[in-house]
Amino acid sequence: MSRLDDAFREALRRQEPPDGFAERVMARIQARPEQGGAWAGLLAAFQRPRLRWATALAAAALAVGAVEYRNERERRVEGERAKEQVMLALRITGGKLRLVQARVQRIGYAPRER
Amino acid sequence: MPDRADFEGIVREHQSMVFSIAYHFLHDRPAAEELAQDVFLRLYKSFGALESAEHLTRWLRRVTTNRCIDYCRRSKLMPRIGLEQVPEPSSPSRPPDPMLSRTLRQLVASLPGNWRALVILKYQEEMETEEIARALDMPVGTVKSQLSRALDFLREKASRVLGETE
Amino acid sequence: MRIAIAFVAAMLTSAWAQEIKMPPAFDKLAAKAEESVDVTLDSNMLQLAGKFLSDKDADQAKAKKIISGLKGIYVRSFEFAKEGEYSAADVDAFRAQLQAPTWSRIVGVTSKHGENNEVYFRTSAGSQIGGVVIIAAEPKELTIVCLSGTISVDDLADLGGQFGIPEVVLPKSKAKGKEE
Repeated sequence: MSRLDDAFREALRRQEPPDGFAERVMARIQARPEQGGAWAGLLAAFQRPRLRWATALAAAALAVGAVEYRNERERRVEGERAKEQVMLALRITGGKLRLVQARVQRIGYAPRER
Repeated sequence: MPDRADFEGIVREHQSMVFSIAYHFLHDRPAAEELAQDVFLRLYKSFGALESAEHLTRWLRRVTTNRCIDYCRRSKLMPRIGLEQVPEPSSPSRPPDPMLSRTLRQLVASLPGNWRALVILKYQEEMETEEIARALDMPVGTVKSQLSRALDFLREKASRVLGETE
Repeated sequence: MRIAIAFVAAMLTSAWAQEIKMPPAFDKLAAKAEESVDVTLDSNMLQLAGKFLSDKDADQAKAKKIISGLKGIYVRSFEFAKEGEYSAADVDAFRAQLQAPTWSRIVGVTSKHGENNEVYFRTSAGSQIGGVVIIAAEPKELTIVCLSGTISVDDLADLGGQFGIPEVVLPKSKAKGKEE
């Protein structure tokens, strides 16, 4: 039974996430607006006419940044998924090629030299 | 809110645990990363409520596991792999091969959500029953009985993979 | 797998992916299958995937090299609960596309247990292969693999020994009863 337990432990051992995982988490945290005081400060700034345009521009820049970040994140998810699909496809291809090879070898087929 | 530099250190310390629970549960690396990121965002928001390093680890395991179960329910992600479809070799008693771990991971990924969570915490995190119960906020008796059924099921299915008869 | 191949010296420029189509019948097979794999990666997706394949991992580095010349990877694989869920006609409809002169059937292995495995190469110049199609038809499984674009014989041979795929050891007398 311990051999099976060891096999499961090996199969389920921890794996590292893709490179840059911590950076992406921190980037998402950075992209979040601050709670409470920052919102109150933003509201106060809007109430002062001279700062209205500057605040609007800053908010727009933040929104653009957030959209760009979201696009980059989606691209990354799509890229990782494409990578997994490539590996899956090549594993299937390799497996089938080896199967054909084994069957050919079993029946003793020697391909003609051309 | 925690200091961001400190928090990044916490992410790096626990990222493989969180990602691995998600990956072994969902069997989908991109989805696992997405879910793991969400867990750390939640941690950032809830950080002040945590009392110790041990509490933090327990919190991460519980939230990650619950998020995985919710994800499966929401996306109707019933086991991607039917239990009957996990391949068995035509000849028994083969030595372990590179595909064995993959086969066993598929076996685990084919379990119902609760069983899957318990098995992952047992084997990936090497937790005892009482620890699992505390982490998931479940009665110890429930964890014991569900884990026992899950392991019996896995052992019966996997014993042929390893060529064992017990 | 090293196979001696004669190539016709003609560079093919037509849109490969449009020439080989997965028959509509395969969509219905997916609904009947217990498990199915559907991989459709055109050149854009392969380029994107290439950026995420790590040079530090041996398997991924090899994969990156293999796909560098490819324009598309298309895989359909179906596993069925019982035999007879797909017909020979389903496969024939696909196979008919490979009768064009640009395709050569390199290997064909059949057995009386209903297993039929074929490998087709598309001719290209030099030691490159212009495309690969694998048809693996078994009583309860059907797999079609199409690699579009150029791939070297060496890379193709390496495919069979990479990515943790174990060596296939066939029993002397295949016990059909073991199949589910």
